[in-house]
Amino acid sequence: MSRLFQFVRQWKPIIKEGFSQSFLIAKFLCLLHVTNTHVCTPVLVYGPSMLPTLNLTGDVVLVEHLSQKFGKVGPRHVVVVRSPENPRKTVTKRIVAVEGESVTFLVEPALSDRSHTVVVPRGHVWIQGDNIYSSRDSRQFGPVPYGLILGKAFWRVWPPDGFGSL
Amino acid sequence: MGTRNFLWNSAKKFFTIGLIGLTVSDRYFSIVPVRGYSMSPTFNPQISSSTGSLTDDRVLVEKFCLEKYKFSCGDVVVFCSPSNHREMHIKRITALPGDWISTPHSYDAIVVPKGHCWVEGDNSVFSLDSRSFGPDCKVQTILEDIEDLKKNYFESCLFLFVPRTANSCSHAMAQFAVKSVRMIEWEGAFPFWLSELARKDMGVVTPFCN
Repeated sequence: MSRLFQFVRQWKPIIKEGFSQSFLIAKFLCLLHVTNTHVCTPVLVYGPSMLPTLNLTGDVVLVEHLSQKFGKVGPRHVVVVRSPENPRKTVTKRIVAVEGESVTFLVEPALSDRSHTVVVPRGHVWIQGDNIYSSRDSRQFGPVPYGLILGKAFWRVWPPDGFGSL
Repeated sequence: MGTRNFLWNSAKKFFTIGLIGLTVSDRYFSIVPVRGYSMSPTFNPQISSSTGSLTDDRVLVEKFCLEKYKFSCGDVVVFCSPSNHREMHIKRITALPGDWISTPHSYDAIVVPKGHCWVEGDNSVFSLDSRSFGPDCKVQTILEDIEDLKKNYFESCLFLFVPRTANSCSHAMAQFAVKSVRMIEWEGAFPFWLSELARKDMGVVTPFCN
C-alpha cells in the first residue's frame, strides 16, 4: 500500500504539469478555431472562373467573416460561398447584385447573345465569376441565400508577386 | 496593485471560458430555445397565452453532422431562413435531393434539386416552411412582414376574413394610415368619410346576414 502512495507522490507533479499543458494546448486550439470561423482565415482558391482577378493554378487569399456577420457584404465584393449544389464545396465568386435589384446576364456568352433579366429575391445575392465563359455561378444555380456566404476575400497572400488587396 | 491583478485574472478567465464555450457550441453541442408552434406537438405542445420565453421548449442540437452534411428524411434541423439570414428556424426534413414533392399550390410535382432539401413543420397549419419558401416566395415575404408587424408593433392583433366587395372601409383606412405621419386616436365617433364607407359596405353585407 505504501508503495502505491510513493508511486503517486512521485508522479503527481508530472501529471499536474501534463494536465496544465494539455489545457494550454486546448485553449490555443479554441483560439485558432474562433479566429478561423469568426474573424479571418486563409483560403486556397483555384479554377478558371475568376480570371483575371485570381489565378487558374491557385491563390491563397485572406477571407474575413466579420463583414458577413454585420451584413456589410455587397456588390463588387469577392466572396467565398458554400456551394448551393454541394454543401461540402466552397466557391469563390463576385457579388453582382443584392436583394431587390434586377440582373441582366448573358445566358450562354460563348454561343449566343441571348440575355435574361431576373429580380433577386429578398435575402439572396447574385454571384458571378469574373470569367463568364468558364464559370458555374448564379446563371446556372440561381440566386444564393445571404446566409451561405462564408466571408469576403480582401487580401491576396500567395503568390508573392500578387501580394496585395483584391 | 492587488485589484488590478484580480481584474486581469478575471478578464483572462472570462476570455478563456468564452473561447471554449464558443468552440464547443460551434463544433459539438448547443442548446436552442424553440419559439412558436410550427412543430407542435413535438415541441411546445401547449399553446400558452403568455409569450414568455420561460415556457418554451429547449433542445440540444448536435453539430457533428456538419462535417459530412449527411442528413436523412425525418431529421429535425435548425437552419437560417433563406429570406432573412438573421432568423433561425427549426423544422423537419421531409424530402432529400432527388425526391419528388407535390406542391400545394398547383397540381404539379417537383423534384428537389441537388444540394437542397424540403422542410416542413409538424403542425402544418402554423408553419412557414418549404411550401412557402418554394416557388411562391413573394407570398412568403408578405406573410413574414405581417408576422413581424404582429409581433413587434401591436399590443394585440386579430385577423378576420372580409370578402373584397365589403372591404372598401379597410382599404380607405389603410390608405389614410400610410399617408399620415402622426399618431391618431379616435374616441367616440369615427370621421364622416369612414362611417359613410362603412354604411356602404354594410349595404353589401346585410343581404347575407339574417
